[in-house]
Amino acid sequence: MVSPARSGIVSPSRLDRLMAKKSALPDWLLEARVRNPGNALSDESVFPVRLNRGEIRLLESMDGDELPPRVVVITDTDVETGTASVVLVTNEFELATASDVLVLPDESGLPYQAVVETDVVTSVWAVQVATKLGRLSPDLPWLDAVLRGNSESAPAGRRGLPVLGRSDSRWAWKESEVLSLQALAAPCLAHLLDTESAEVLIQDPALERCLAAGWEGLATLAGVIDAINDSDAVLEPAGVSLASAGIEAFADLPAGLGHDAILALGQAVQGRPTLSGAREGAEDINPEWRPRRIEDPSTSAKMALALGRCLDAGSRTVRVLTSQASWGAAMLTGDCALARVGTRRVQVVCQVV
Amino acid sequence: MATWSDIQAEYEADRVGLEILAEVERAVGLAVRRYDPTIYAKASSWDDARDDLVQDVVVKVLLEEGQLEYLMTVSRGLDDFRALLFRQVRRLLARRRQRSVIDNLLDRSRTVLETAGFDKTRRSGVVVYKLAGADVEARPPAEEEIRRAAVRASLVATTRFRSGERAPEVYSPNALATVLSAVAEVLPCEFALNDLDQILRLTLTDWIPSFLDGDEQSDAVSDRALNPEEETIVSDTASRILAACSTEQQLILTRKLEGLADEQVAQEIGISRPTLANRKEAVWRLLEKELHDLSEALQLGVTREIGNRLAVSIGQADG
Repeated sequence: MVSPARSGIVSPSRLDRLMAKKSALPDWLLEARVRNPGNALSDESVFPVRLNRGEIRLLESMDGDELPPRVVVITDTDVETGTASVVLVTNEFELATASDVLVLPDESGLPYQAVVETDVVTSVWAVQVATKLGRLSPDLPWLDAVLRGNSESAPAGRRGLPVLGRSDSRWAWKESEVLSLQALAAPCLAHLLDTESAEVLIQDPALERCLAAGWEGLATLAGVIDAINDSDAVLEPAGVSLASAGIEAFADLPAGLGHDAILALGQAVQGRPTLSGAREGAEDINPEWRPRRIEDPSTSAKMALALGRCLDAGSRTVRVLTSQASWGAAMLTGDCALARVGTRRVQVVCQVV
Repeated sequence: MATWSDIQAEYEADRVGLEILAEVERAVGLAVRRYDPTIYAKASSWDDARDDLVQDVVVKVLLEEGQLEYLMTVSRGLDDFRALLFRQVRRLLARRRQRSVIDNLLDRSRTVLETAGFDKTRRSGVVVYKLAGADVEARPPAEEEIRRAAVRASLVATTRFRSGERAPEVYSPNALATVLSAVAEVLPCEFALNDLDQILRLTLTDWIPSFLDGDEQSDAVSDRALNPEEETIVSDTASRILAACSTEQQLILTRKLEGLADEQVAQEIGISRPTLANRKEAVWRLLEKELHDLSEALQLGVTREIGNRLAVSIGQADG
């Protein structure tokens, strides 16, 4: 998200221009800048996304820059679905209603006074809140209650007055706040509310490398099969072939696991519903990963194919059974990565086996 | 003309430089066209006052309040930045306006507070007031008490904000007297004009969005002046509703108009929350029966009238 302009590189000619401009600044501005040196917020998104309750983050549209982002507080996380419950934050503190709670800069890490709108909440995908802006101080005695929606726990001086009805012009303001958050959350809410859509599970093709690793490989395979059995997800077909390949590769190993047992596990995997889709090749898919993936061209193509099939099926979030070795950053189960395919973005919830 | 990259680079280097200053000048130039300089800048023309407004936006809003960081965080391009900056200019104008309106109300309040209904004395060199003859504590009100008084005052009907009005009344003389009585009755202690200032600022919070969103048309229904016949209907209906309510039902109605949660109301009355829910339903049924056949404007009028009357009568009960 860092633009070239923000990378800190300033050309000599640009420097000259800036210096010339600086000399033309009015005195009151120069004085005000000295008095208020400020503390620029980092607005860089960090992957994998790992969320904590009370963090203040920037909520961005799932599809690029089509909607203006908003500031939110994380109130809850669900590592199974890769979603977070969030509550809206506004900088317009003077509009606060009885449901809104004022937080000061030294309590939030934000450089401005902000208001937590406890009545404007939603669920979003974790990758939509990849940019951390601050964190509400855990020392605030009323924090837990407020994040549960109980604004009355906050001191009276931090809350506004109740909205008394439609004639109160804050009613319309609240409506626009709700709409703003709903628009950003719409793809996630549609997914969560759609009883027809099931979670899609992909096995990281890079896991195949583990098959040659003897006993460790067998443990990985057993982990994959257990994870599949424990999940209600629809399998992306490449995953089934990996499990089958694994079963065949390990069938003769003296693993203390009989052939019949391995076969039974394999059958359990093969009996699962799979994602339907017609895509055969991955030529037109070149996902941009955050964090970076470590993979060879063969596994890269397989992963791209799996991802393409998920996108074709309308999935915006997938769970991937993966290993730490596949990623250029420390990865824990529940961490979320982002795959960008053209203008489309897919959340990848990692389950490390 | 500056690009978004120019703005970002300047922000990274200096926070505010010539590019952002030019954007503020542009936003101010657009915003002030709609507003009378005599009202919003106490100047005869914006030629004299524009630079002051630019300086206020940059120094107070963008730098001191840190709003520049908010703008830079949520803007995705120059258009976003400009839209948000324009809103910041209007926020500042709204606050200036609210300040002048409250100052005007405080002046009027001072006159009312000098009348026989109130006692005036001095505490630590500050003039303080209380209801005439009331036995209250000689101390300033606490934060929670200020809020409680503001909630009560907010039940009294205001005239809605209109940006073109030079000196909006906000409260009719009677309504202002009701507000001051309600405040004095709710507070268990004396109060100074500073306290009243805080109470009025809280009470008039909803003026800001009506200013920002320019929703003067939306006031058409709520603020339409009622004709004498309609005024009579409103008054009679409010009287019937209040006469039909027991003291407890009036208290429930007041607390719900104040926006209190069921649990708090139940606690105050000393009943369980489910019991309160049942009794509240009975009050709603009573209201619905009376309001059902009335137009939206009349329904609003009745609600306001009930709020006005309860603001004082429940205040007396509280006292």
